[in-house]
Amino acid sequence: MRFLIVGAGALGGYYGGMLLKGGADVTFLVRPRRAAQLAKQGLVIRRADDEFTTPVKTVRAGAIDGPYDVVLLACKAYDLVDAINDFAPTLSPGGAVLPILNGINHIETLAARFGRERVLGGVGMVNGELTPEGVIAFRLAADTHISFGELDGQPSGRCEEIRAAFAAGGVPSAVSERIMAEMWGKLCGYAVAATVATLTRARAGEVAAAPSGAAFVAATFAECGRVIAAEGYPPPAEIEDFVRGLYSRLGSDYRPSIAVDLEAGRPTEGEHTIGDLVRRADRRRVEVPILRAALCNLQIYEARRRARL
Amino acid sequence: MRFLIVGVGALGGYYGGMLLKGGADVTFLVRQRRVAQLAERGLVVKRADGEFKTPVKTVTAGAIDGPYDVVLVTCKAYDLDAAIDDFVPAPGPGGAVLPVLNGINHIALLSERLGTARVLGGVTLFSVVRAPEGEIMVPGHGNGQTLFGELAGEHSARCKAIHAALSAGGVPSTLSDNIVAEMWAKFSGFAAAAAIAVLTRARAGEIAATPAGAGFVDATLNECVRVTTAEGYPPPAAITDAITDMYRRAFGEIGSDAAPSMLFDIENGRPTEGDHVIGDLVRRADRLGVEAPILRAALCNLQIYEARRARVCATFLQARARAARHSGFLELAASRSDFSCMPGGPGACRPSPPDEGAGHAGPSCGRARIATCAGGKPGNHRSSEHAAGGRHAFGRQ
Repeated sequence: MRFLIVGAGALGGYYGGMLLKGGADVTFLVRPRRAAQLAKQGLVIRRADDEFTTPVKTVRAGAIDGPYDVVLLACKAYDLVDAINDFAPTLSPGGAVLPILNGINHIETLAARFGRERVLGGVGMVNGELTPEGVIAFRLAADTHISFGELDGQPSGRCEEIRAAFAAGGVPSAVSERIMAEMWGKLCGYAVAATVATLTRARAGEVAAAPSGAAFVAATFAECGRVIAAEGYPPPAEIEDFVRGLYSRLGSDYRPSIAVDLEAGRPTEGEHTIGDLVRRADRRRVEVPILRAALCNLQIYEARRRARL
Repeated sequence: MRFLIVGVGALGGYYGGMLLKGGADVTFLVRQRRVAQLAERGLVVKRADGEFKTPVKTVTAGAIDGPYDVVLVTCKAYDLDAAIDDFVPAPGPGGAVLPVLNGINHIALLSERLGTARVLGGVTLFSVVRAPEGEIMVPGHGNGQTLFGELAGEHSARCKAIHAALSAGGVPSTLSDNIVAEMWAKFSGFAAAAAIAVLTRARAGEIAATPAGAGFVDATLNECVRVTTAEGYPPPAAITDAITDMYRRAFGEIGSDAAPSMLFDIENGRPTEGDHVIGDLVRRADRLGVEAPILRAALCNLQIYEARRARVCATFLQARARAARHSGFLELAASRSDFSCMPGGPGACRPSPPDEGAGHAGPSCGRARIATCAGGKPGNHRSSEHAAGGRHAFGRQ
C-alpha cells in the first residue's frame, strides 16, 4: 500500500512519520523549501521527552511518480484546491483520498472531483505545530488518535488495510462507522476553540481567569451545537466536556491552531470552518451572533494581512 | 450661575470653555499637577468657526469653595466614585449635578450619594477630542446636540438656566422631558459600538469592508436594543431609531476612521468604561433572562484586556521601584503617570503626553499598551498615538 502524504505540517508529518515507522511505503508531497529542510534534517517529531527522526521520501508537485493507493490529505483548507490539482494525477484507479482537514465542506469538494466512492472521511486529533526550525512539536502530549471510514459507514478492505498500517506505527486508530458524525463533532469543538481564540486573542488560561470566560465559552458552544444539530449531527456530550475542560484551567497556555496562525500572521482556516458554519446557519435560519463576530474579525485580519503583502 | 466642571478631558474642556465664552462663572476641579499647567496655558477650544482661548479658574479637591449651582460631571465612569468624593461638598442647596457619562448606572450611584433631587440626566451626541498639546478640537461646526433634563422630566428653573448658559456659549442643547429614555437610547448605541470595536479592534471602515460586517453590526445593535427594551425602553421611540441608524451608518462607510472612544482607550492601554457600559448591560440581560452573546464575548475580551493591563502595570511599577532603589531615581519613582509602558521590547518605556484627559486617572499606570488586536501580530496594530488628535470618533469622546 503506497501512501502519499500531502502537507508535512503537524498532522501530515506526524501521521506520515508514524506510518513510516510502521514500515509503510510513504512519500511526502511538499513545497521545495520544506523538501530541502526534510532532505537536510529528516522528519523530526518531538513529543514530550521523546524525539523521533527519520529520513523521508519527498516529491514535488508536477513531478509525482504514481500511482498511490492512499492520499492522506493534511494540507490547510485554504490550500485545498491547489493540493487537489497537485495530487489528482497520481491517485491509483482504486485509490482513496483520506482528508484529515478541519471542517466539513472539503468532503463535497473532493467528492465532486474524484467521485464519492474514492473519498473517505477522517478526523485527526493531533494538537501540534510545525516550528520555524521544521520540527513537529506537540502542545498536548496525550491524544494522537485518528479515526477514518467510508462516508456511507460501510466496512471496507482498504480501511482495514489503512488501520493496520497506522497500528503498525503505533498510532491509536479506528475505522469509524459514523465518520461524518465524528467530523461534525470535531468541527464543533474546533469552531468553539477557534471562535474563542479569535475574539479574545488569548490563551485558554486567560479566558478561564476572566469572570465572564466560562459563560462566554458555554454560549459559543451552544451556538456551534445549534448549527451542527440543525445539520443533523447534534454534538455529543464529550465534545462539550472537552471544550469546557480546555477553558477551565487557570494558567493553561493552550491555543488552537488558528491562534498559532493568527499570531504568526499566516492565512487561517477561518472561512472554511467558522465561515462555513455561519453560512450554513444563515441557510437554516439559526442565529449565530458570536460566530458571525468571529468571522468579521477574521475577515478584517485577512484584509490587513493581504494589505501588508 | 456657578458651574464646577469635573473632569478636564476633551468634553470637560469643551463645555467649560464654551460656558466661559458665554459669560458663565466656571471653575474646574483638577489635580494639583494640572493647576500650574492650566494657569500657564489657559484653555483653548478650536472649532470650525474659530478659536477661543481663555484663562481658567481651578480648584483642587479639599479646597472647594462652594456652593456651586451646577456640577457638570464629565469624568470617565471608572473615576466616578473617586470624583464624587472630591466634589461632594460642591453643590449648594438646590444645586444640580449634571453627568454626561455614557451608560446608565452612574445615575443610581449619584442619586445614592447625593440624593435624587440633585441629579439630572445628560447625553452628548457628538465627540470632541483633546490634542496632545491640550487644546480641545471640536469636529465640524460644533452643532452636535447636548440633551439634558430633570430625571422626572419637568422643565425646572435650574434646567432652564443651564440651557440659557449653554446657549450663550454657543453649545446647542435641548431641555428634554424624557432624558432617561434618551440616555438609554444613547446607551444601547454606544454599547453596540463599543462591543463591535472591542471584538474587532478595528475602525468602522474596516468592518464595513468585510462581507460579515453588516450582519455583525446589525446583530450587535439588535442585541443591545433587546436588553434596553427589556429594561422598559423599547426601540419605537424615534430617538432610539435615530441613534441605531447613526451607528449603522457609521459602520457602513468603507474607509471610515471612525471608532468609539473605547477603542482609543484600548489602543493606548488606558482603562476602559467597559464594565460600566458592556458589563452593566450583560448583568442586566442576565437578570432579565435576555440572551446577550455578543456583549458577553466583548465583556470577556475586556476582562482579559484589564487583566493583562494590571499585570503589565504591576511589572512596570515593580521595575520602576527597583530602578529607583538601585540608582537613586527617587524623583522618578515619586511621579505617578509620567511614563508609558509596553509589554516587552526595547524602548518599552518612554515619556507620555502631559495628561491623559480625565482628572482622576485612578490607580492607572500611564499608558500600558496591550498587545491584542484583530490584525497581524500582537502589538502590530496601527498606532493611535494621535487618537486624541484628529481621528474621527463617534459617541462621546
